[in-house]
Amino acid sequence: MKPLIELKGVHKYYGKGKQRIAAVRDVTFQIEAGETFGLIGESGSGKSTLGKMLIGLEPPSEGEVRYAEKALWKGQSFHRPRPGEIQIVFQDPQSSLDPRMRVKEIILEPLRALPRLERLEKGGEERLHALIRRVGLKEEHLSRYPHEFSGGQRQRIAIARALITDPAFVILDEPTSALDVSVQAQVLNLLKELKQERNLTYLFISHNMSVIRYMCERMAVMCKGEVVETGTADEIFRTPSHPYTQTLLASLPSIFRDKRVEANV
Amino acid sequence: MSTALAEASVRRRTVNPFWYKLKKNPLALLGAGILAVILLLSLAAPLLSSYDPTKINIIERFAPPSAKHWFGTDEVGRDIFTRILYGARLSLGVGAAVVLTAGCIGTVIGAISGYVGGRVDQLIMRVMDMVLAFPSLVLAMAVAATLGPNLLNAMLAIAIVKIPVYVRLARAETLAVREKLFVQAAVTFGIPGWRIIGTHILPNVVSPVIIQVSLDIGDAVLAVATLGFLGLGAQPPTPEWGAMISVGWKYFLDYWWYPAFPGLFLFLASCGFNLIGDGVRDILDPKAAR
Repeated sequence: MKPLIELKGVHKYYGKGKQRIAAVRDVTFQIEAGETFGLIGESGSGKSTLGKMLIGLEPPSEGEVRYAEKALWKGQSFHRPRPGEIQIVFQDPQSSLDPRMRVKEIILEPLRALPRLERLEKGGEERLHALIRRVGLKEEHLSRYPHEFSGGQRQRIAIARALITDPAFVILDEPTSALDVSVQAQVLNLLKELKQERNLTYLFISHNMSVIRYMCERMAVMCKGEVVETGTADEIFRTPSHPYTQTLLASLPSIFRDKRVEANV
Repeated sequence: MSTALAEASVRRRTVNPFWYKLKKNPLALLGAGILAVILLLSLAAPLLSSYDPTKINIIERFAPPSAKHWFGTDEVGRDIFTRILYGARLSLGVGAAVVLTAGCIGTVIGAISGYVGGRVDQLIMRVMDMVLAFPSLVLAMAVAATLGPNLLNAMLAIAIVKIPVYVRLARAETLAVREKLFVQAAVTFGIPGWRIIGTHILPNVVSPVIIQVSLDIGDAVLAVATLGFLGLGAQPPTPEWGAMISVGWKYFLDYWWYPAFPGLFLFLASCGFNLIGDGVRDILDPKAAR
């Protein structure tokens, strides 16, 4: 099976000359269709930069970024597959929703980039209502403004906005790290269910090991711009090979540590 | 029925905080009061006065203030009170129109400049710096004199002088809004730049612009009168305050009422706008101390 996403030798530099900083160094991995791929690393490790490359906000300095076998970037210009095919949910739901727009306008906004017929079809009242109910909100919320909602509810709005275009691939850029722990679990479960129902592929970016473990089938560990380890989540959690991964795992409360690893210690 | 009642009571309880705060600011209220009075007087001008503001009546020239002519008459016997009332329509209307025009144009230019960035931004901002480098009155005079002395050109001149202020303001605000995630999100949807400016940037930069507009109207009223005074604005026999003062001050020693009353109204109107402007700024500016 061909991978949906392919990154090959991707670099990203900021600045020039002596001040040049490599935010991402020689990153290579693939994401298969239908899986949840986790990307973990501390702040500044370049994981969000990779997300931005896939969504068209940051061009890579070197290397290839492919989606469904087509290059997303040619030089500095982004070649969007089909509007709405790739969507993103940002970390901070406080700033990702325009405070001056009603929820309905916010959710329907991505459709504005679509051709008229498709926009009318996907933006239909019934479809919108089904979607808003599916993410756990109510129809009457559609006419309200974002400031009237809690963080978890706002993130649900952001998720609805990402799904309105029927995307194939969704980038989740730390979608729960700004939320309370109890709300985190609800949102994560919602994302899991939506993935099953809609046959989505996720890139799940996070700095939280337990969240990654809960969500992802395969994962990559990033450290200082480099991918230090790639593999199935099970493998990495059971037998971390890179010292950085081991440190990350050691930082978790013991309840999350795999029993077999503990038996070996 | 009961739900409708409940809704109504909820609506009544949510007092608009803007009006609530405005009520607590006595100076702003005074300014609003002054302007409201002037506005009402000017709107009711035909009811309050039976004179024609431009009709000449040589026999009654330079009549002192009396029951017949409250503010006296001028050198050709026109009733000054009437001319002030009609002049108020002109001054207030022109002042507001000029600032709103400059505000709209300047905000759009500033938003484009800030959003697009790069060379376009550099070019626009350097041009604005050039305009700002001139003393505004001198520039307005130069523009008005070049275009020819009439009211429309004076308005245009003042608007041109005012635009850079709004460009800078809107640009600075745009630079902040542009980095917000909801703008980034709109970019990822593939929405074109002009539409992002229209739906996200402009609505989020208008509040400081509104404050600036409210502060500037008084200024613009004064500027229109200044150009009128210098003979570059409204031409006689238009009842414009600046032009009236300009003719009247020559007669000041003999007929004090001629320049004094238009001057008084200009002063009051300008004060009113500035008081309101300060009040609005205090209310809308989140950085101002409560």
